[in-house]
Amino acid sequence: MTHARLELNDLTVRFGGVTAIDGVSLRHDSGGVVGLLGANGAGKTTFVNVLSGIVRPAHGRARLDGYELTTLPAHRIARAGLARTFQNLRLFGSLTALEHLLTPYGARRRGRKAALALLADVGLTGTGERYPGELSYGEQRRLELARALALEPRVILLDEPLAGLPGSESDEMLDLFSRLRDSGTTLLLVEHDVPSVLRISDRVLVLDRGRLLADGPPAAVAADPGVRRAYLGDGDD
Amino acid sequence: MARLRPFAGYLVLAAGLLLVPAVFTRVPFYTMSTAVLMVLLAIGALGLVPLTGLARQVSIGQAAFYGIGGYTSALLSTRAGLDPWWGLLAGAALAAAVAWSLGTVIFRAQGHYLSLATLAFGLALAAVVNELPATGRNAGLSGLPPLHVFGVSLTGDLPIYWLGAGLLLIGTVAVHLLVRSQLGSALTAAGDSPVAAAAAGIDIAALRRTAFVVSAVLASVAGSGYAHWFRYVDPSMLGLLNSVQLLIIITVGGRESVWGAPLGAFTVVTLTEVVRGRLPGSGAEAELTAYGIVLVLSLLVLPRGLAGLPAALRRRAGAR
Repeated sequence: MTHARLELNDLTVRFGGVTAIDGVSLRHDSGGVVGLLGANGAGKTTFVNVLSGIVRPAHGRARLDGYELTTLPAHRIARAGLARTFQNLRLFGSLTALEHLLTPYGARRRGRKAALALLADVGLTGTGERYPGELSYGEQRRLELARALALEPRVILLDEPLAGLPGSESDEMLDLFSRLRDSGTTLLLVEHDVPSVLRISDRVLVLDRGRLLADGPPAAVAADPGVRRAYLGDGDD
Repeated sequence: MARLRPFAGYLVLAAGLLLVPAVFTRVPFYTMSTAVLMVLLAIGALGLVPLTGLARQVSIGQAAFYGIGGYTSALLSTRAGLDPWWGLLAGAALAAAVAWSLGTVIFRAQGHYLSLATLAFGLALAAVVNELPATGRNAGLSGLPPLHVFGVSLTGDLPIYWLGAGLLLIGTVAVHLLVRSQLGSALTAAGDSPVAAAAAGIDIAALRRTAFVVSAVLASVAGSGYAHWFRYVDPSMLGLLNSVQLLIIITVGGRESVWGAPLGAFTVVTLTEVVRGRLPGSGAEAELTAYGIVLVLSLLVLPRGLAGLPAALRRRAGAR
């Protein structure tokens, strides 16, 4: 199976005088789950926003399978195979759950049956005719994930998808991520829940004030003294 | 049942339009002139359903397209001697081209640029029409020929009413199909959350531009209809008050529903007639006062407009 190839080269984002992402370079083409950790303000959401075309970098490049993400508009990035969810839910309040899954680019062509199957895949069977306001918070999170999946993406950026979910629903969501990984989709998981990220990820990145502080397998990153000092709050080791 | 609902709506609208002449010629308050004005304004307001109701983009310059329709019809029929139908079609094509060009520039940016740009465009076009010798300056153009259908000249209020009612019905079906299509869902998504819609692969700028073009074409058709009914056009057609009137019609009637345009036109024109001569100030000032009152009342009592009344009543009944 060929996985998506993501390449970042000296990616830098500035807001006025503040550098939110500071010269991040990396390459990933082995699929799986890439966890992205960092304290509040470390630049995690900006990282997701710059890859999905919502903000533009001051300089540097990001490429997905040859597509130049830093110059494409957001909708073209989505069509190129990169989907995302949002830290603060952004659902379409006037559309039903089923319409959410028929609206993304290319979804209508795959049809209603595929959309219903996708709803079932994320555990939302029977909610097709309901509006977001009629769904529980956990169901809304799943619907947002399903909408991203309706694009049939090669890479999906998940911005704090477990935030506010009770333990059982959080575990179900992690199971869902594992299944997505097994199907060949590359996941970038931005999360505050460190144990969950370390458990599910194949590779972990740690951002600190916009800089890439650590990058490696979960066990190695968790043991990294710099990470423990800067992020995990353990400076005595 | 759900599949029958739109057809039931069309039937109710058609029945209402059929009954208008019988009622309006028998009650003292209404006239067939009022009825013609209602259907023409409803056609103009219909285009705001996809643009303002779904995509949540506000145009304050629809009167410019109303004027483009009216003046194109006037110039082609009086100066070039073309059949009025060609004038109507040319006006619609010109309005579409102008909206497409404006939309291409405006929708590259996020924010309230459409409101500002259409306001500026409307004012600028009105100023140009007011000064150009070709458009008759502030005296306008007169002597427009009437429209013909199968050799029958549509002079007088009743024939033009039937034409307007027919066009309104066709426009309603067309806009309803658009609202229920994938394009309609995408416009709704773009209105609800532009960022999320773009992340779902939807080209927001192209969508908004399409809705803007639709609104311009319908406003232009209404303007051409008005020009050949009145047989005269002047720069007041492009006035800001006409743009505001269309926005108020769709707000009062219900901007998310095609039924909002005829309901809003009926209500707003009725109210305009009621206040005429009863409120202090000139006619335009009285109209503005009336619009302000009805807009505030509508937003407070029925934020989804008259078309949203059944749903609001159902919710209230369900809450008991």
